Amino acid sequence: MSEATRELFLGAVRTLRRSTLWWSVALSGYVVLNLAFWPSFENSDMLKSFDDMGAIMEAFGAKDLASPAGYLDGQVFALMLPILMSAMMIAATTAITSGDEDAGRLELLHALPVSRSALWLTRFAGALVMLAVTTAMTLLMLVISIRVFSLDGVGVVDVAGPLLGSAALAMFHGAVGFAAGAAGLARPRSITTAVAVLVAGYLVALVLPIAKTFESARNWSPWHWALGQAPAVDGVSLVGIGGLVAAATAIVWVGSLAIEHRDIRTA
Amino acid sequence: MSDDIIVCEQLRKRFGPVAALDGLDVRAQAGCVVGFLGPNGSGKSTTIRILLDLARADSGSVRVLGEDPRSGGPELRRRIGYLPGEMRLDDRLRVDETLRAWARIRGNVDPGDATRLCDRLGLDPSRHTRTLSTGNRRKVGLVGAFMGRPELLVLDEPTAGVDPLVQVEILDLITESRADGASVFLSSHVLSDVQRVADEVVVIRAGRTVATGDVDSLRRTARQEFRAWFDRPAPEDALRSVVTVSGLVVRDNEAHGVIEGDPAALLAVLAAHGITHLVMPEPDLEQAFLAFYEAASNE
Repeated sequence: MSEATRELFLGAVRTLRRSTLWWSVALSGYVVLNLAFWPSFENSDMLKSFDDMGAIMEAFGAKDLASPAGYLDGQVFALMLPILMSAMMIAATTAITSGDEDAGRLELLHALPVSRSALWLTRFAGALVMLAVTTAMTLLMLVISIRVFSLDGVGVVDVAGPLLGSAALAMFHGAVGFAAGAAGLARPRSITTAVAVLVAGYLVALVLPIAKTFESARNWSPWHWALGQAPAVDGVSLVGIGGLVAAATAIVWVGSLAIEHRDIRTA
Repeated sequence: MSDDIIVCEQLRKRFGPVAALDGLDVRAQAGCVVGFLGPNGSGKSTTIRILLDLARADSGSVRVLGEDPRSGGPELRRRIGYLPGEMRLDDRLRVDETLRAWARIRGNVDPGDATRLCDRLGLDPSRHTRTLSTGNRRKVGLVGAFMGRPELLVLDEPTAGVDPLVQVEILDLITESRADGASVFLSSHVLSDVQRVADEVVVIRAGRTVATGDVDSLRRTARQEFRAWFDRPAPEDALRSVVTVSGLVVRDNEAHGVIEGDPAALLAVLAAHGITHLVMPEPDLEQAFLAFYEAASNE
């Protein structure tokens, strides 16, 4: 890695360090708070009654809610944690790429002896560091919480897999936001594009299959590749996660080509 | 072989329905300070952004230091110091952090360069960039452009927003860089700045070159307002006899008009007729080069 590339990468990491801290606190807090309620719900008939609602609850990723793994899926992995992590990556990648371009902060950097793609790729790499740190912190809090709040039968692998899937999903949507910005969209539109893909993926993976005719549609959704239907209960597919990471990498690569072929916007 | 450091031929660039550049031709010689003049919106910044490969021309050709800015890439930009028209800094960093980052990316920068330049421009490197005034942000950009002693300096409005003493220092830096062998492409709409340091000027309007030449010859054709007061009735006949004066209006002991080119004859008349006070405000470019602009409009 050249000194220029290293400086750009470290600059991106430095820029995101405060966000990394706050997102780590937020994601860890969300996990701990939700798992803290497990002892209260453990023997409750309410969770069993949700299971009786069948397909509707599956649209929210809730399946076998009365079991510790099912509770984890319903409360953490099926919806909220992947959404929060994806939101984090979309916000981070667009802030330091299209957001900085909108604000005119890339003008001088692009005039320095560094290629456009190197500048943008190091910024995406900086966002990946943020994702890695927040994922590691969240995993740590998950592992501690399943012990402290007695989610019996749930092991480290049972939470690490879905968390890895959530991180891959976040990387994918961050890549979409990155590529949209690299193609020339301003930050608000880049965010809108990535969020639209996020929501569409959720609908295709979890809502559309309620109608049996569209059950196979979920195979087209990044959500399904990352998390399957009940990640903590059934486990995740490493092939699916690998495919999603590969797709995200391809999207980032396309974005890095796009930035070489257009004007840099002025503020 | 040409010793032109910048060559733009028939550059065209549109932003939607607006033609920012409409067949622009520019040449800048190596080892010179070239003033790039034009009113706001004339296409100066667009041209400069094309030189730095921040924007791409729709048609025409560009050579900077003998290379196409696009194919020259990072290695070409390593030889260029750039000050953008609008200084947008990363508000999350201090001045010294910003300059160190730029120096590492640029490479081969003497660490003492930034310190010396900060001292000369009166810039406190420990300050947070978000607390800086517009003028101080401009100084950060200037330090970034000059450090590393690039072969070519491309400066977009370098004195805009800074106080007069610092303006003098900036113009001295430009002169010294030229003496050290650098070439300078200086965009401005302040005529006096360009007059002080430039060897050659290129005047543009509406994306087209309307005049080129050395500063003295352009100055001889430039227009400037004057207003004079006398200790007696203003000498209307004598003033009208000065061929370089036009638009003369006389009222009691006051006269005002426009002088085009050399003011020597006007000053002689004023001195001979009891002048007590003379005001010649800095002309804006539109006014100074009105003749060129009118000629360009009529084409």
